[in-house]
This record gives sequence, C-alpha cells and structure tokens, in this order.
Amino acid sequence: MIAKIVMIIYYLISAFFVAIVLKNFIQEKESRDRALLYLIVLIPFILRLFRVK
Amino acid sequence: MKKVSSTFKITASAMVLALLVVGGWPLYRHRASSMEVVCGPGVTEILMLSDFLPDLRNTAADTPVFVLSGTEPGGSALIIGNTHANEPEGLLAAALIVENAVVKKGTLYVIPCFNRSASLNTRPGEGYPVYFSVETPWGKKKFRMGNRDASPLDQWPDPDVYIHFPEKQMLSYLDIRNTNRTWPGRHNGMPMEQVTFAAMELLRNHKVDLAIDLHGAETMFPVTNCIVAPEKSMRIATLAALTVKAVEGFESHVESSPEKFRGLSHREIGDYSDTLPFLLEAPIPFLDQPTGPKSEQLFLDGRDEFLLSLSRRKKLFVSYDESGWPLERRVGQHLSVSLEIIKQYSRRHPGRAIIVENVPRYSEVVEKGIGYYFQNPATAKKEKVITF
Repeated sequence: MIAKIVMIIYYLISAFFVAIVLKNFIQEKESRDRALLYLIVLIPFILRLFRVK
Repeated sequence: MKKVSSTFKITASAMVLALLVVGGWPLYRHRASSMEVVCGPGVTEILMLSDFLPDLRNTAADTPVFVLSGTEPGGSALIIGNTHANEPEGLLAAALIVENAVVKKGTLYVIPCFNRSASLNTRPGEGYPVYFSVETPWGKKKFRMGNRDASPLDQWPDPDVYIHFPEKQMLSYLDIRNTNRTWPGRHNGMPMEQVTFAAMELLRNHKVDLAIDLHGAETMFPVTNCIVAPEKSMRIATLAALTVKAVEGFESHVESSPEKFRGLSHREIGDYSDTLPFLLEAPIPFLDQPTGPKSEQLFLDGRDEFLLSLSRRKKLFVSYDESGWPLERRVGQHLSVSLEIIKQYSRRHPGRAIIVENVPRYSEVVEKGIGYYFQNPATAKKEKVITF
C-alpha cells in the first residue's frame, strides 16, 4: 500500500516537472540551445507519464 | 546568440514530438503485445498466480499457472520459466511442457512467464531485439524479448539500497525488481516480492516436492551450463547431472547454492519450505558482453566470432566452436535435465513419484527444432489458447 502511494507521488512529481519545464520552454526568449534542451529533458518524463517506458 | 522565435519553437516541438512517437510506438506495442500458449492434452486446470495472493489480481505481475494432473496420486513439481525475461529458454521449455506433456502420476505446475512484468519491459542501451521468432511447421511463432527486471512502470521507484526480506541482506537497488532476488517474498511487499510470495504459497499449500527454475547465463560467467542446488537437493542434482552426461551426452555440472547470498530461488525455496529447489542455467552467448550486434540471429544460433576467438584463448566456461550454442540445445538441455531431476526424485520416493510423458528430450529438440513441438494457436480451439 505504501509502495503504491509512493509510486503515485512519483507520478505527480513527474507531472510537476513536465509542467515546469514546459513553462520554461514557453517563456524562453534568449537561447535556442536552452529551448531545445528543455524539449529533450521532457522526453523521459512524458514517456513515463504515458506509461510507455 | 540567436533569439528564440515562435517558428523555431514550433519546429523544434514538432521534431521532438516526432521523435517521441517514432521511438515510443514500438515500446508501446511491445507492452501491449501478448504471447500465446496452446493447452496440450495434459493440462487439467489453469490457475493464476493471484489465486495464491489476491493483491496481484489485475496487475501486470499476474501470470497463468498451468496444472497438469495425473490420474494416479503422487508427488508434485513446479517448473518456472522467464524468471529473467531476457533468458527466454525457460519460457520456451515451460511452454513446450504445457503444450505436450501428459502426466500419468502426480502433478506438474508450470509457470511459463514467472516475471510477466519483466517480459513487458525492454532492455535499454544494448540494442536488444524487442521480439524473437521460432520456425514451426505452420509459420513463425513470435515471443516478446523482455528484460532481467520487472518494468519500472509496474514497480517504481527503486530504493537506494534493497534490503532483502526477511534476511535483511543489503542488495543492489535494481534487485528489488528481480524475481530471483526477492524470494521468499512477502504478502505486503513490493510487487515482485508479492510474486515470489505467491509462488511460495503455491509450494507450501500444495506441498510441492520439487521446484525447477529455468535460467540462462553468459558463457564467460562461471555459473553457467549447470544445476545450482542447495545441500538438500544436491543428491538429486548430482544424479541428474551424471545421468544426462552418460545417457544423453551433454554436460550440466552441479554448483552449490551459496548459503549467504540471499533472495535466490535455489536458496530461499529450500530454506522457507519443504520443497527441493533446483536452478538450471543454460549458456546463452547472446548475453555475453563482448559479442557482435545483439541480433535476433545471435540469440537463435548463439554463433559469434568474438566469442569463438575468446574460446580459443580459453576464456569461456563452456566448450564453444563454430556451431555456437543454438537455442535448440539450450531448450533441449532444460527439458532433459528437468525430466531427469523428476525421474531421480521419483525413484527415491516411490510414494511421491511424478511420471511425465510426451515431453521431447535434448536429442529430439536438437534434431527436430523447438517449433516442431508447438501447436498452431490459429487452428486450436479458442478456449485452449492462453495469452499472457
């Protein structure tokens, strides 16, 4: 039971990271490198949230 | 530094999205795919692992348990495949038993895909094939290639250090998802601890005499091509090893189960039940590190020029030549050694004998191929086809 709760919390943390990184990506005006890196960083979090990998 | 325009953001987002879809789709398909086994004439009942621990019901860890009961009462044996889903020789041997075996006396319990979650997992970073197929008279039969450990999608997060229950030995964090480190398990533990606990319940509740866990190991790993057994199983293991060498002409030596390495089936099953455990290792060149590409062909024929070169320098723990270590030999060994363990036990315990017929042995599998013994799910009765 505790393991399941911890697992759900980790999914919520992942969703939070996705929201924060997306916000940074949208607000990024100065650096193309940073914008691209935000997108790349998103990939594993999205794969986990959609339960693909 | 160039400013970030909206056009750049849209283009980059589209490219990353395309990358996600192209890379993620095969992984999604793999996880959604299923493997089929056709119940043979000997299958009398199909249980689920969750029948022994209801918490596993409707989870990715639940898996079928095939029961093959004889007309005469006798002893019983459990055969487990795919404890490590990147060693699918066990899965194939167990599936062959389900599709062909007829039990005259006693009972066989067969779990072809013990760590089902691991079979739904893929191995990152090493270029493993996602599937493999074996030739049959009616076409190709496809199987999922899994990973050693359960999928993090089913059990996550991993601890910093895995503390084994109940021995409290500290093990690698990854091994909390390895069903050959979580024996004897616990009913309220992590899912893989629950999987092994459910199997222990099967062994204890049904008073199972023998447990045979089918694995594979690298040719460069010392514990390969062998039967691993604790003290209580040693006599049967030794007799089985000597018999297959004398009668069938292949080597499968005996290794002693270490007392202080916890969580393994060959240690904990023996310590926490009356069952005699055995773990069989077949050599799998595909698993070795210094090979060429990890292709489906390498998995099937076990032929690799780098390993051949290492063999000439005596760096391998098995004999190795141009013929490699084909899948037929590996599966055939598992079948013959399993049958021999059952036979040796039955000779010494006539009241608890298990008589199994119609399972091909090593030479037959090598000669006719594995696919020869698989039934066609497309032409079998629907209720006989079990997917997992």
